Amino acid sequence: MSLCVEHLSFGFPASLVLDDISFEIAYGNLVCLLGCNGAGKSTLLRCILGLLPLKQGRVLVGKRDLSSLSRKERAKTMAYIPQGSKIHYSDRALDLVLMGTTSQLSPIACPGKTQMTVAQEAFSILGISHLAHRCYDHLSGGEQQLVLIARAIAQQAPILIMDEPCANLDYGNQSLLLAQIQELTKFNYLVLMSTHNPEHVLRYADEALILQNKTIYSLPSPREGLDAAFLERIYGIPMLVQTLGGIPSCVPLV
Amino acid sequence: MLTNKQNRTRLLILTLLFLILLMASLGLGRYPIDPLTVIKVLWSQIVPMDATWTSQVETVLLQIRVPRVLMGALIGAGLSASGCAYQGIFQNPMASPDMLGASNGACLGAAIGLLIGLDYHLTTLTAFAGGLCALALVLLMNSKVQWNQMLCLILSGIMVGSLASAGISYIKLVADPTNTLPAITYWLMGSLASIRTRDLCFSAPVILLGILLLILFRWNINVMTVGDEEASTMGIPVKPLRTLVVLCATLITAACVSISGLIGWVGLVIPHIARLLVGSSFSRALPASLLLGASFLMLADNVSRLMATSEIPIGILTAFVGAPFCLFFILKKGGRM
Repeated sequence: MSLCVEHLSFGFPASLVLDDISFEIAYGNLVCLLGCNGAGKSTLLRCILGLLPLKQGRVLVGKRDLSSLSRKERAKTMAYIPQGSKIHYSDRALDLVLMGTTSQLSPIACPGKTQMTVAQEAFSILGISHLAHRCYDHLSGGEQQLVLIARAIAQQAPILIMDEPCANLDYGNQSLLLAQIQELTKFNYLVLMSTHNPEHVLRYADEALILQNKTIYSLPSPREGLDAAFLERIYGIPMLVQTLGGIPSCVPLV
Repeated sequence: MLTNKQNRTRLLILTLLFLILLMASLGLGRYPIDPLTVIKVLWSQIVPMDATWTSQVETVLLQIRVPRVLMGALIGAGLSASGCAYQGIFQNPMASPDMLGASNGACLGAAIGLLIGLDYHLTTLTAFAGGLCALALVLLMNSKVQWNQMLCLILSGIMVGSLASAGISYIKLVADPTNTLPAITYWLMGSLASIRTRDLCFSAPVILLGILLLILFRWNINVMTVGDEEASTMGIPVKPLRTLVVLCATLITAACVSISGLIGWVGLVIPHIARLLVGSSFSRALPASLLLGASFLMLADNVSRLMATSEIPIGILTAFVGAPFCLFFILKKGGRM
């Protein structure tokens, strides 16, 4: 199975934000979306999620056009992990994760025992069962991000779309979270995440998508394709890419 | 955080509080009736039994107390439930049932009714119609916009609300100052004094229907509290659901205002106390809001009946309690409600 984007365009005719974007990514991969500020990474993710109306093109999962699916079927296909959820009424982390099970319920039902099990499994997959009964507001940024991922897992969708999951995390938590996300691909999840850090792409991604000038470049093996010249083109500053003890790292030369 | 068992206990305590207040309210008044007689009279309506009470007691209880107390409880429950739902779907703790202009619309309807000299019952109808017109106007405006519909909904609600209150002011200006103006002014203050069985038959079904729908969709409304986009990706039909909630809340609010006048603050304050007691999740806060709202309004109505020789309009009382409570809340929690 794969997620396939065909000739996707978004924006006004005079000023397209995304122009004729096509790519295909397979389940069981961690795919990173790279691009400078304002390149349209979040917009692309939101187009794929069906939150923005496409001007042209379509998004296919397997053979099925996403726009032909009902909202619930779509929720069962892909889950969204926002950049730190704004929770207006703070409650237990478990209650938040239970929300992920909504697409498995009839419109007037409340989560029951089955959904509770699903939610608790989601916690244990990420190894954060101890957070379930804590108040979401009192958790650290990294823990909150993990809870949001648990919510997406409880949604039981094979595609996870993450908008800069590491944006508000400290250095250690970033690495821990990415290792955790990489682990998920072994359960055949397809993770599509946007990031600002090329090192994350070099180290963890199975594939990279680079969004530049309204269009997309696909790098099937980022360790080879994402070199200093490429990074310079994206960010407009001289870069050095080197390998230290087998781990690639980027150094901006300014 | 509370466990499910603790939550159940708290809900049970709230239910008990509600029942005790219900019995007390039926007995209390200028003509006190002891709780045992209250139960006997009510029971005799279902199972025929020998009357050990005077017919006066029965008349007071069945014609005046029961409609008034039941209506008070329903209004309190209805306003709190709509407030709780609005605070959820607008992701805004300062939202209240009158936010989208429904109560101002109903007040304008009532003012027009009183101005053209309709009787009490017809005024109820014009008030209810006024509330629905306000909603129709808001929804019409909202259907014309594509982007940021939540903001548009709130802004058009505020606009319609202030249009209606301008209308009320104008009607007050032209109303006959000897009898019409006092009638309008008193009506706007909010009171349960003139409620009779007929009002109960008209408003109760509307309010109950609104509450029932909110209860049925409580989980979906709960998911909407995390925000439109996230809720949408979790399979919630955001726009239809919001319209449904707005419709329910407006029906409830218009029905309440049309028989009792403006009773403010209940819908804003009660949901916050409910969340403090049982947690923020809408599916838990809703039942607590219903019970607490009903209890609070019955209590306020008892005070308004008993405190002074002439009745104090309940709208004034709820504002006296509600506004300081809000201030206390803001001071205590640093504005983070």
